[in-house]
Amino acid sequence: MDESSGPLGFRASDPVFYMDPLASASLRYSVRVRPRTTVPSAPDLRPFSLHHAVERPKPVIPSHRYSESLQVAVLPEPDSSGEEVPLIWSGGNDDEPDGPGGKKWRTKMKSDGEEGEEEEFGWEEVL
Amino acid sequence: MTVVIFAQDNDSPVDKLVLAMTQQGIPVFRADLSWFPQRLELDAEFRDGRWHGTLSTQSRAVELSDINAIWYRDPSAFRFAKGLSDAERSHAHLEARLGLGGVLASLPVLWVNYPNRAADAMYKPLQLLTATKCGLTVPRTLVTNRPEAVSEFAARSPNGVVGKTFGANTVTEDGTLKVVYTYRLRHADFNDLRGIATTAHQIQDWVEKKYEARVVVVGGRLFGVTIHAHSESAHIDWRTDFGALTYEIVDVPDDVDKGLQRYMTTLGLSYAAFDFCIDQCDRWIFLESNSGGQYSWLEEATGAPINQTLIELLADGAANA
Repeated sequence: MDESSGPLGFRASDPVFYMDPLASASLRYSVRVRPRTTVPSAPDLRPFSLHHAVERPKPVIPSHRYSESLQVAVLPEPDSSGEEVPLIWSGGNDDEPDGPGGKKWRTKMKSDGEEGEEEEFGWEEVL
Repeated sequence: MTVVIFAQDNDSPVDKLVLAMTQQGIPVFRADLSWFPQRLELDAEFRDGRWHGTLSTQSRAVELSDINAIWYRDPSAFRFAKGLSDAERSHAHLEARLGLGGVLASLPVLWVNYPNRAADAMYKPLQLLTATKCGLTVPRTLVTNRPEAVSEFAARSPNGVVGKTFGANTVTEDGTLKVVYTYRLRHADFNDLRGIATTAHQIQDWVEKKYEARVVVVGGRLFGVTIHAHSESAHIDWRTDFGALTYEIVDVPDDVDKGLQRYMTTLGLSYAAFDFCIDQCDRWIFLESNSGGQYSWLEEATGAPINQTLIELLADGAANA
């Protein structure tokens, strides 16, 4: 335990949820906590469920920027008429429904298991 | 009346919904909470028994009194200015949660979903109990950190057991994304249960299933879609092999429909995705619910009008709260 650690090995800078182990509200403190350890521990210690973890490619996010006017992600460059092009429209999958102007929805729809941590919440119980 | 959406700025199902709402003339204000406090400003004053003020970005603003519904869809965490110490950052986080979050939480609007209700609903053991109380069938389940208990539980299981995580099933190690899908415990696993004692584990009876189904509940409306797996790994966990899946719209049996409506009311949810196994006797076995579960790919595959139903739910807003 280093000098800055508390009695349970936590540090003052640890997210609050570590200190409040059973309250569901504490889950909301887990928003995008960066893992500190990046290599697996010894098999005796590694959680059993993680023995069954399989490697997957990281999701690829196409180049884009956020359009304040459309309030959606758009391609980095406007089209030839100078209009912003929503990222989800393209000439992609023919099976996908048309967007306005006959444009196609880009195949970038999330599906469970591909999007990583989806169940995270942003603030404390106040009611 | 305006619909507020808190989401990451590259979330494609949200993009689709925002474009459709705009096209339909429904006012929408979208922001990511990572924009607070640098690109998202709150100015709220409590007087005359309610909150007055605005939530604004550099290009638009919404009056708090004009907000009709909030879709809370996996936004990023607050992002503060560089240069804050750890202690200052921690303080700023807490103040933002309780200040911004507190004002929003006090508004008389429809939440899809209210963050605290959604967080409560994350507890899988609570899900199983709630589902049972609501008349749904659930598999026998063990939660333990005792290796012997796993063996004892499995010995009483007619078809074997599976392991699954309680929460997010992804970890990143050494720069590599790793996913823990539902896994069947084989003979070799019972000879080496190291790591069970490290933390809580969920072990469940394996259901000999014909196929699976996801039921997306939006307000009071249900969309049932069967998921047929055509590979060995997808038969265990369909998320392993999306290319091996086919989908079909299905009518949800009445008893399951009623159970899900009760479940939503009990846990205070207005949106959730439920996963079921359909066993050899055509019984629908509840596996879990996800109050942030995905639906777009099912809509794309089947044409189920989930997005439009969600739009209507949000647009009606407080009337559904």
